[in-house]
Amino acid sequence: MQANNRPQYWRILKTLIKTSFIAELEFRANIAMKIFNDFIWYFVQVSVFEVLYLHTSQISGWGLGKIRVFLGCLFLADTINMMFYHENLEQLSERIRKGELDLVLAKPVNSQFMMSFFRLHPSYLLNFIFCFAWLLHSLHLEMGAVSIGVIFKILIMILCSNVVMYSLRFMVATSAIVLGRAENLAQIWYSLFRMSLRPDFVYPPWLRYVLLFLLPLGFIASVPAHVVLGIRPDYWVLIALSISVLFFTMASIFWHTLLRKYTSVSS
Amino acid sequence: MRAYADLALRTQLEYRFNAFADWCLNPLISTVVELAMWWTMFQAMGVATLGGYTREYYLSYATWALFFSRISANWMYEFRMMQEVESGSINAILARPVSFYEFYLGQFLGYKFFTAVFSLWLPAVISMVMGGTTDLARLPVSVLLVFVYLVFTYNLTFCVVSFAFRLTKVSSFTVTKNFFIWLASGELFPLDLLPTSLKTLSMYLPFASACYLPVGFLTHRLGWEEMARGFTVTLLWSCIVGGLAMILWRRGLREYTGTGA
Repeated sequence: MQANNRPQYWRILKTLIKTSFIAELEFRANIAMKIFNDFIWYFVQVSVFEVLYLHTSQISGWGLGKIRVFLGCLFLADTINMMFYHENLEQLSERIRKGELDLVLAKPVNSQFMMSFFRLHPSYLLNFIFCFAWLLHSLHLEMGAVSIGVIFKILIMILCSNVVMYSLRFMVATSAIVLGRAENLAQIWYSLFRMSLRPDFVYPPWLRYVLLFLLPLGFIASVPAHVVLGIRPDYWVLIALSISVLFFTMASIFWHTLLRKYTSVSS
Repeated sequence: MRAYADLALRTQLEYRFNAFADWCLNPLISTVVELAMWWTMFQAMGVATLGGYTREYYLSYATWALFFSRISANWMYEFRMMQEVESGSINAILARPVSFYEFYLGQFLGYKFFTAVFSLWLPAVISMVMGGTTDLARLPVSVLLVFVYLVFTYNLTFCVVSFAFRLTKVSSFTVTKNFFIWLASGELFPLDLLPTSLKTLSMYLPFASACYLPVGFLTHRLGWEEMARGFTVTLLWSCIVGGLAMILWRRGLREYTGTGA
């Protein structure tokens, strides 16, 4: 009987997707622009490397073909981020400041879940399909036929990359509980996130280690690209899984620790 | 206007860690990352020059590009202004004996002035330590160009915000605009790396004044002639976009119906 009283997160998520989609349809021009924006973002990222490779044929042994695979991993990871938690974490500091967390804490569901997935963007499915096609096409050009095993590896690595990205960003955003306003902390996140927009070989070795194990931004796109291209052995999938579980646990502990310090802001 | 600039500083200092992150932490992290990236990239490519310029030039460029792009960026006030229109809280400002344009322009320029003053320490220290091609005597002229650009970008913001009267949610317009500026201003990479035709085109747009021109002038890549053209182009575009903003704003206000007590 008790098990039936526990919240069913899958059903909640389905309802959130449905309500978010209805809310999105209210401002159709805005959705179209958001999707278009992401395509512009892809264009900007691609153009950075296309311009650089006008002046050189390789960087650390990576030609343009491998870079396109890297970009495919990056775009795919980013699309999931945009679809599920980007907006929620961006507004988290403001929602905490305005006292919306109080309402969430009063509900019989996990507060971290509700704050992270309150508003979803199912319309980004179009971008997901595009990015997946881009990645498969780039892989096909670089490695020939793409096997089911490689597709399976892509899916696991992208899942891990999103867990890592979510956990890091969540920890930055939730600092608003103690700091009050954390708009500029979000800017720090973007500065850090910029490091994941380039393959890790463009950084010096010390920074590369930081990006792999201390602040694992390298797991967002660089490690997935290395694994999918076969540059790093398959056991890196297990490392990615371990890192993502570790950081997700850290994010949950961080949230619950901060909640203990939280004093309600609304009346 | 001075009072609004003062308001901007006080608002920023309300949350001190937030201000510290904006003026110290964020510039420090992004500068270290960019410098490390260009340094290693040159090693990884195994070349002495890229697009005809040395590693030292790119390092100086990366250091100052981040400083100028931080001053010239305008997303924070743009989102706030949109929010005012979207939520209807603009009514309170419209009822005051000041214009909405002045109210936010004062805050925006004030905030940018303090951002420039408080975050200058980092590129100045790096330039002094690393040497390179930076000529600090040229800094005032570069900063002046960026402040002229700020008027242009504020007018552009006003155009975007005016659309909120009709479409309500226009935040995605800002993102589109900022992506374009990111690329066309030279923040991502020096415009020297672009193919010649695109580079020539970008010199007739005002966005180069946000980053490429002031940094190029400061690092002795560009001379007085290019700067004079930069001032002219930016002022011209500022007038055009300002006129457009005025028309769009008046039209938007005519269609707007404010409600609430």
